[in-house]
Amino acid sequence: MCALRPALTLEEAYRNLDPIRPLREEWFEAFYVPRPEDGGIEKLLDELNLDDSENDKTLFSGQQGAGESTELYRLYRELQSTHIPILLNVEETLNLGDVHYTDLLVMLGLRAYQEARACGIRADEQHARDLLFWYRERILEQDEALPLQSETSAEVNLGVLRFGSRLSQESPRRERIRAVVEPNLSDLLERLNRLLLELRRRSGKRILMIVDGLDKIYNLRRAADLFLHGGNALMAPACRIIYTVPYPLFYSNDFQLVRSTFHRVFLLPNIKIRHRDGAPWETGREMLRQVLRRRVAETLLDPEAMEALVEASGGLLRELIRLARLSVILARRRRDARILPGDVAGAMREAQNTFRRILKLEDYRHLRKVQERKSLDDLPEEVANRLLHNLSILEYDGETWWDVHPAVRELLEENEGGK
Amino acid sequence: MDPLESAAREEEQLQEALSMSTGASVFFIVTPPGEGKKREMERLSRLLSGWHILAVRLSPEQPLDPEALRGQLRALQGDRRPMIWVEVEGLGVAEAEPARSAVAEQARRVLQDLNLKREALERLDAPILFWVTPPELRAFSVWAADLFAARTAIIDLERLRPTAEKTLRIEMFLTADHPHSALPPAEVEGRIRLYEGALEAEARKRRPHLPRIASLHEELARLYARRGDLHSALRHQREGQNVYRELAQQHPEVFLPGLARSLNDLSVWLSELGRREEALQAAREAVDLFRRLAPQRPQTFLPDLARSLGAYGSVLLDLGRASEAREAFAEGLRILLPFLRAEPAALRELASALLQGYRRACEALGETPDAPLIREISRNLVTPAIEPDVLPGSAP
Repeated sequence: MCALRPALTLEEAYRNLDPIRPLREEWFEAFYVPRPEDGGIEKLLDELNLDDSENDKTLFSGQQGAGESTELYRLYRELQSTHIPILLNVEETLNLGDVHYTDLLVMLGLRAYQEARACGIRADEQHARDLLFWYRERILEQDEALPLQSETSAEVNLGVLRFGSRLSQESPRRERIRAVVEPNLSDLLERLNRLLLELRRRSGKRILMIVDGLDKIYNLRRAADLFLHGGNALMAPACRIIYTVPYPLFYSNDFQLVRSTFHRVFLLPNIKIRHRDGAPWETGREMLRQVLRRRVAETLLDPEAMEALVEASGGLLRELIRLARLSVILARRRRDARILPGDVAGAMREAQNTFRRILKLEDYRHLRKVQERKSLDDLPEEVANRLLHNLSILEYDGETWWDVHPAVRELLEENEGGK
Repeated sequence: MDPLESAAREEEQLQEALSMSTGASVFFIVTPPGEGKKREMERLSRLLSGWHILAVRLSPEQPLDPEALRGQLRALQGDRRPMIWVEVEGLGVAEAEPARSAVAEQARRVLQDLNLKREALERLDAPILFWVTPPELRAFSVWAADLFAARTAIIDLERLRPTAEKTLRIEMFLTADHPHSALPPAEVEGRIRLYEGALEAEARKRRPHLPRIASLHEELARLYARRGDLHSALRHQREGQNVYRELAQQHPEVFLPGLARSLNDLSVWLSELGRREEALQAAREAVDLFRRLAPQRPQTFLPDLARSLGAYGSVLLDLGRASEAREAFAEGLRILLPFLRAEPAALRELASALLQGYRRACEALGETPDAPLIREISRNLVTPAIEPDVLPGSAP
């Protein structure tokens, strides 16, 4: 693969503007752009650094496509000097259609064991041995337990991977495990916490677990149950933990109680491109321009087209990348080597057609209210959740005000009759 | 933009994206339900013959397994690049009422499961086309929202369905001398009944008059096209062409022109239905026949040759063979020019269509059109009330 750099051709631009690829490793190095001061995780980073707590728990969310996974990855990198960050991507290890807090704790325990082993704690040392004993005696199969006792990290990783994959796929096994874990939970937590404290002592660093992917649970009732019923247990591990949360859950009544029990709640805002009164916000716009400049050479992107992309994105990073890629396709179809404003207009039409397809007739009335009042007041909870989820409403400044997606704005004008 | 042009653009957009694609990218192809989806899949598979298409199904009973797909991709042999087609079936119920039915729940589970496999799909490193109907697209937008938001494009082939407007354009292009476009719908229906009756009566005769049968089929083809039923139009056009072929074998001097014209029309219907390879074959045969006929009676057959070159060029353009298309349109324009000068009113429509095709082909190739040729044609396209120098491309 050739080195990542701002694209000099439309073909390179198409590759660089990949909306499905997460920013990790060399892609992060090449394309990450820091967010404006009050639009990123700086506040959370500062709090985590300044707070001397050893076991605080944070809820983390953001609107889909706002860049949460990328920001969590950044957090993971930035805190390495003072913490042992342990990333658990639950998409790969849990079944989010059927997730229970015990599944989550079982996986957290195994990831902690895996990290402890990677940090030099041997399998035959007491705390590691104690924790593994619990797993081996209660829930692990032979071919899962054996690799975990191995001295090589590849084998340990294999054991965790094998168990996680089975846990996510085998529904009867999940049921059996839950039945065993629930009555033995305090025993598990005690052993896990002893290992975590040992890891803390040996490394001299605080332990931070980042649980990414829980925001993908679309069944909000299930997600709320996870935190409501499992709240106490999820607070119990003796380390700092950041749990991702489905964004619409923030707006549900059920969740207000949950919110108050966690130490910290962080909502990653979209990049604001305008103030609430409609005046452009240059800082946010410049950040989005930088995102484009990192991926596409300026010779390839007409300045007006760049502005149009920034405006059309509504400040959603994934939407910016997606619309830019679509513009590349349209420019190439014109047999041009440069993206022009007309190409962005074409990409915007696709976005409008999509909203036209997915919005219900009554949605227009609600969306018009949001556009006028910049607030979610009077919107039924179910409607607000749905419109936030399908991105026709975008949130700015951390739950301060809301507006409609730029592509929806024109649809509202078209649909004046639905007033 | 008319629906035909719009649909063609959507396909071009997909082909353009695929030509640049190096890793995974997700597309949603929106089609009409039922047979419409199958038909579009068949048509697009012919257009994308340079790819190795791995087709799988996604339904409430059949979730997608990226690991199995990875294995299948590894097992593929040959030089062609792989592409995954996911034929979505029955997932529209996720958004349908009653919301709590078991099948709706199952559909949602499958979509949510897919949503969580976004990164696994990304690792497959191949373009993935989800073939969906409009309700299924809505279901994806709700229950697989992350995957949906990471799409590269939505390709809307739903609009490929023939419409009256589209049919009118086809008809104007092909048969400027047939006044069906002006017929009100009731008249079209009346004539269809009349000619179908006549056809049946003729066929029942002990010795049917084959030229009449051929011309009735062709008339019915045009009427059905006017109604928007391209499949029936194609069926009649083919029948007519078969009869002309039979007649031309017995009396070539009389019926070869009829066969050539019939093939020309057939190529247009085939092309409109996405059967472009067959359309190309018919158009090429029509051009060959008119080339043979032209030296015998140039005044009669050269405009026909120009018309058939236009149909041929259009199919070539649809197949992405822009260079050959440009040659066909240019030849058609050069042949037509002296006739256009002599009878501008009669040939203006045909000349406009050829000129439009020529420009599109040049645009596709990124080349500058032949300015003197365009100027000369454009000059003869204007009505006497308009001065030539106000037209784009005209010399002052």
